[in-house]
Amino acid sequence: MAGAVSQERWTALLAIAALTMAGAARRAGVESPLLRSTLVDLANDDLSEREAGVELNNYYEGLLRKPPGGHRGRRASAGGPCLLPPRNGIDYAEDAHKIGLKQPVSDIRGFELLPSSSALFHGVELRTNRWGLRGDEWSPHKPPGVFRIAACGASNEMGLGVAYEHSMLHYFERRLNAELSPITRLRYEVLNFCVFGYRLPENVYVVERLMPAFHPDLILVSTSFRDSGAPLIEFLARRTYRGQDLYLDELRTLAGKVLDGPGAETIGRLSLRWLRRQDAVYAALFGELASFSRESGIPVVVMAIRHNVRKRYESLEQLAVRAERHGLPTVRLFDALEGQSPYEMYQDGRDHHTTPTGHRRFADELFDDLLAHPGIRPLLAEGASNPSESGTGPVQVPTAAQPVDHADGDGHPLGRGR
Amino acid sequence: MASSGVSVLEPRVRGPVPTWEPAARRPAALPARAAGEYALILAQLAGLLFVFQTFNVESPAFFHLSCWCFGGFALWYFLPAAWKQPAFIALSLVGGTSVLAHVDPWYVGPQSYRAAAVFVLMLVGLGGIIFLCLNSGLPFGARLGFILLLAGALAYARRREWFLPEAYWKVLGAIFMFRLILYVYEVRVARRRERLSDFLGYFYLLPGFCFTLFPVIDYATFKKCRRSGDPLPTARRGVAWIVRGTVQVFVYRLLYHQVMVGPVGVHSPLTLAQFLLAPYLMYTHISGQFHIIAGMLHLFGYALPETNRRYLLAESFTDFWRRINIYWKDFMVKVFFFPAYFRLRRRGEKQALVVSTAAVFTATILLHAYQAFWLNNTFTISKRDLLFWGTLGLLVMAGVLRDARRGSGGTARTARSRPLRALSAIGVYLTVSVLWSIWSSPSLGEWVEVVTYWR
Repeated sequence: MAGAVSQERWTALLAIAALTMAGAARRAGVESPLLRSTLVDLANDDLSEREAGVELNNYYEGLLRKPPGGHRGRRASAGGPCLLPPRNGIDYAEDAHKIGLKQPVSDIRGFELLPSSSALFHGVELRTNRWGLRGDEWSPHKPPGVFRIAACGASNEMGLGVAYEHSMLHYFERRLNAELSPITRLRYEVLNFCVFGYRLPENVYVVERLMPAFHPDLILVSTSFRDSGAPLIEFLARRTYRGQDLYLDELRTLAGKVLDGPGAETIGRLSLRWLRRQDAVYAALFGELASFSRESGIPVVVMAIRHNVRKRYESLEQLAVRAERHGLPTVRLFDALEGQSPYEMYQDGRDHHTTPTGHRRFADELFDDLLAHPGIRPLLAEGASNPSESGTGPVQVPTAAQPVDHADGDGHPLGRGR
Repeated sequence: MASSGVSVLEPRVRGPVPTWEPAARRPAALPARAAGEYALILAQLAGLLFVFQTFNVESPAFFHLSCWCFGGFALWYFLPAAWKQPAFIALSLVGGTSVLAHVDPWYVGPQSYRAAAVFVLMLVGLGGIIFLCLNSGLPFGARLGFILLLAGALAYARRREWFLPEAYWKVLGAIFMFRLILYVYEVRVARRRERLSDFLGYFYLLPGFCFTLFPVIDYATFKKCRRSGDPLPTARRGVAWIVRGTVQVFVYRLLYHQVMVGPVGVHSPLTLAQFLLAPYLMYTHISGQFHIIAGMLHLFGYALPETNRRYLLAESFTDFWRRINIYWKDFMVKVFFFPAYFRLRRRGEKQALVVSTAAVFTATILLHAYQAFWLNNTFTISKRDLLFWGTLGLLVMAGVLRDARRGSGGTARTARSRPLRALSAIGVYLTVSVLWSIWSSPSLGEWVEVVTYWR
């Protein structure tokens, strides 16, 4: 008995010493990549890379990890008195469709935001302009002396849960105008085409079908964990399962192969088949962006954004490398949240969208990285012109809902004005 | 014969089983030696706090809990024996309020402290009603009826998410959902009035304000295991268990981040193996938490038995059932197995064992859904649940009948050779892993698709 006690004591002492040394190594920062990666994983209480975006169903994990109230749970105050009052009016169960913020469309996007609408969404007023996008009432005609950047992405880049003035693209625009305008004598406009829920396939559609009407000088396409691996694959599998169009010919061809043969009746099996073709999927998506850039003469820059405070997922780096293989300039926004507290960067435990502080950090990194990029710096800092700069001719941007041949300056080139 | 049937569900562990002699019977430690021991324990606890903070172990609320727990122990140690239990209850309520105020780290502030204090007062009030009801002179049926009515009203409010934030509903559920069953059972069986201090100490345990998945501590065991003598030996073991639990949480994190794959990630034999074997290993998280909880209670003199014991090395399914969650097994045996067994054994040993084991696994299925209701507000019993628990139940039942036929399970094990035992352990591990992977899949059909990914 005494021996067992002694053994237990010494084991505990040694284990604490080892753990403390590991903690000290983590605090001091270690050089070895393997050790550093292990220490990051030990401290990572967030979802794993494989689970991000795809919910696993382990019984105990579900009990421990499900955020308070669940993503679709009702708010504690619903239907009765509550010990804690609702905070900043956030209702996570709210549906953008029910509150009149979005409408279905038949193209790959699935839905779009309603033009000129306004609703309380994720605690802030989400107001759309006449093009059904977040931001000012831009004119499709680019005035002289303006350098236009059109950005597409998902909820975080859109600025979900923060006032538009606190979103990363708005910060980015302010910094461009504050620091570059005095040098280039250009006014910089950043057009926010980002819509929550959009992934790379939807954003390729946005780039090709919606953006050209606004004559951008530069296009930014955001990619995040939602575009890497399982979430994108599951999206494609679900669309294939439902027989919905995939917009790109290459993806349609792949869908044909995926559906070919027996046993393609379920989303799970279709996911597996899409997974085996993920190289071809990324080649189709980034290839299309590269092709568009070449043909239109508008540079397309890919932004790989890391939203996870705890860890930089390898799949993000792989996404960036895939984009670069197709000749697309790529910036890696991997450091903005590095070492930051999740309680300062995420909006709350249920909503990991970034706070205004996080948006500012993203904007700063984007600004610095673009200006450091040898391919982009001359364009931004010198305001190089492109064929669409005048922006005075007829604009042709058909939409799936209502194709429009052309529109004048007061019209609605997206054909959706009220 | 009857004893053999019952014994197969009792804890049976190899190696030196730790015994818990009341510390008061031991020779008093020398003051200098005690001081050294005390200082060493404090140093270890300080090291653990550093590790918890550096590696974000569990949650900010957990770090807060550890500060209260370890700091509380440093002072509690010097209190006279008569003050120790009331002091621990007071520490639990005050510390619990503070922990609850940090349960949502995005909103820590005066308002969260006020809300937590009101909630703890509500909990104590609710406990007071339950205590007065169960210890009143009313017939047991009336008392039980009142408790069921109260539980029903609370369940309705929980379903509607009335009155309380989600995080508080989880805590309320974690405190009362299982322990109240055991308390009522004890009141029924013991037929005596319970002490208020035992009631408060049992329900309002400091770690219970942080951990919503809490070991189902038996009330009778809880009362028996409280040490009144020198607390240092118990505390030393507590530190060892907290360390063991922390290591298990770290193992879980590495497995979760580096090994675990979802159904969509399976595209090769290696990823298939990860898909099949990793979900079961995620249980190290629960096991780690349970060790930490039990270790923290050891610091305050509660020499609780082990919560989990080397379940990955189980050599049979009954062995697995005994080891993976010892408190749950004891709960099932006490509340479901024994009553059914003793009622049925006159009709035949085999029949009694079969029906009692079936009752245990039926209760397990229902109580896991009941647990998910209180913790996540969902009550579902899926085909996967039925398949997992049903298969496990049949395997355990077969083991129970086999052990009963042999008369004594212990002799069979010792007779087996080491390679055979190793093979048995591997077989049990693989079977449970596969079952667990089915349990963790979105659906049975999807699991079949994943394991035949090459088709």
